[in-house]
Amino acid sequence: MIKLTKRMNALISLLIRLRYWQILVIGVVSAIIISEFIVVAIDILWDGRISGELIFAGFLTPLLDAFIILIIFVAIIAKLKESYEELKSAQAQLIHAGRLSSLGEMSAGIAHEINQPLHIIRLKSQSLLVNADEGLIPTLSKEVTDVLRTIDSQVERISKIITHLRIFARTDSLNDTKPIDINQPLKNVFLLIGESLRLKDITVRKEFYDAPLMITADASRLEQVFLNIIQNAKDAMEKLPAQKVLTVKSLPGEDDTIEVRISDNGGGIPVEIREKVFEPFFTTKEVGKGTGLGLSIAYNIVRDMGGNIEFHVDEGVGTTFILTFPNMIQSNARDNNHVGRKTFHIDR
Amino acid sequence: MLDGKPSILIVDDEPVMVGIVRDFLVPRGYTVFEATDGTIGLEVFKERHPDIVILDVKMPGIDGNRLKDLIRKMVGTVRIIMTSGHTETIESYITSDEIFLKKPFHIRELMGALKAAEGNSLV
Repeated sequence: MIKLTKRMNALISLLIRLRYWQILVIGVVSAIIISEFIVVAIDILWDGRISGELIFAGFLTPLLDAFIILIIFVAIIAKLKESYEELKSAQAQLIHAGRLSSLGEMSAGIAHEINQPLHIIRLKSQSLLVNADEGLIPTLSKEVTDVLRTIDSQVERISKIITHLRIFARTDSLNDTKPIDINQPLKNVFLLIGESLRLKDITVRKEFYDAPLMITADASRLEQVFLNIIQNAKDAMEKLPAQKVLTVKSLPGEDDTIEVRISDNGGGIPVEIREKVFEPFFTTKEVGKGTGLGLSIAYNIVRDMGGNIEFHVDEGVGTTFILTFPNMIQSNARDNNHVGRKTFHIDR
Repeated sequence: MLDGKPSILIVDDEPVMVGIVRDFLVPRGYTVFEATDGTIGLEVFKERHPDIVILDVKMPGIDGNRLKDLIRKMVGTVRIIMTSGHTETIESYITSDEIFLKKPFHIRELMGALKAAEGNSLV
């Protein structure tokens, strides 16, 4: 029984991978074979000889039957394919949610453990400065004072990053939607990956709109979107010998929308994979480096917010991801059934 | 409060933290008692009757909140400063009946909290 189930599963997974023309060919061939077989069987059963009339009746009827069966067959496969895609996408979301929740738990623990020694370092340097200020210890030289101040400010910086990492990871599963300035999550993303971009010699051009751009969204989910796109841009520029430039812009878009444009100069997404970049588990990165979930997650989050995500390829130059969000006033009035679109434009 | 400066008990399960606070306060004329867990903290409190207690909230065994209640039951007027790094949204605050310092705090915040505690304890 188990063996049979296994075989059925193998057969189903084989069928799912077939293309429609392959199914059609298999269907037609089997229809002909079945009908021929039936004709011969009827002939032999009837009177042991072959007559023209029998060939006609025996050929046409089974062929029609086979044709109907074929249509049903194709419909079933189509349905199976659809469910398979849905399942794949749901699985992607689940894996991601699982990873995030463990990341959240881990970050909370790590943040506390690291914040404690950091706090001690800060208190030590602050104590020295305050004690010297109040004359409780001999006056410190300017050099020592500078060093202590640097320690204090740098440690504060680490604390901020850790605290932010914890908030980012923890609140992702919650839905904390409220009016926010889209520039804030953009700035926070650079708190998390600014240093890793700098280490890869990537010049970052931040062209944030100089007034608040208000949208209704969950800030940490938005950060996740920006983070995923920027990570991809970073990887796209990995092997670039020339100057690597990442440009991040925020601006008011057309029709009361708000736009974020993230551009790299990594040569552009190759033609043959453009259709697939938003698919879950699609990755061009080597095993262990990418999950193939980044852009599919980004797409789903933006779609949930009633926004739109598309990319624009400047052949041989780079890719620009354009994210469009309904602004606050519009999003309040927007139709709840609004769904995002994924489209792309290519410059030749 | 022998010479005008109050005596202080610090209870924190991180010994280095206790050391820093002690080293900072002793030169300023405070009498400092130390404990690295709630049980020892309670014993030291019973023995020494400090004017101000600085308590870490999260500790193994008797935690800061429970120790606070136990101490308050014994001496209602003792000033208590709570410290914790676990809360995410709450900032440090000083009210008429409670002082809370969110970790990581600046050493000057600790001084401010102590001033506030002293001011109240003299009332």
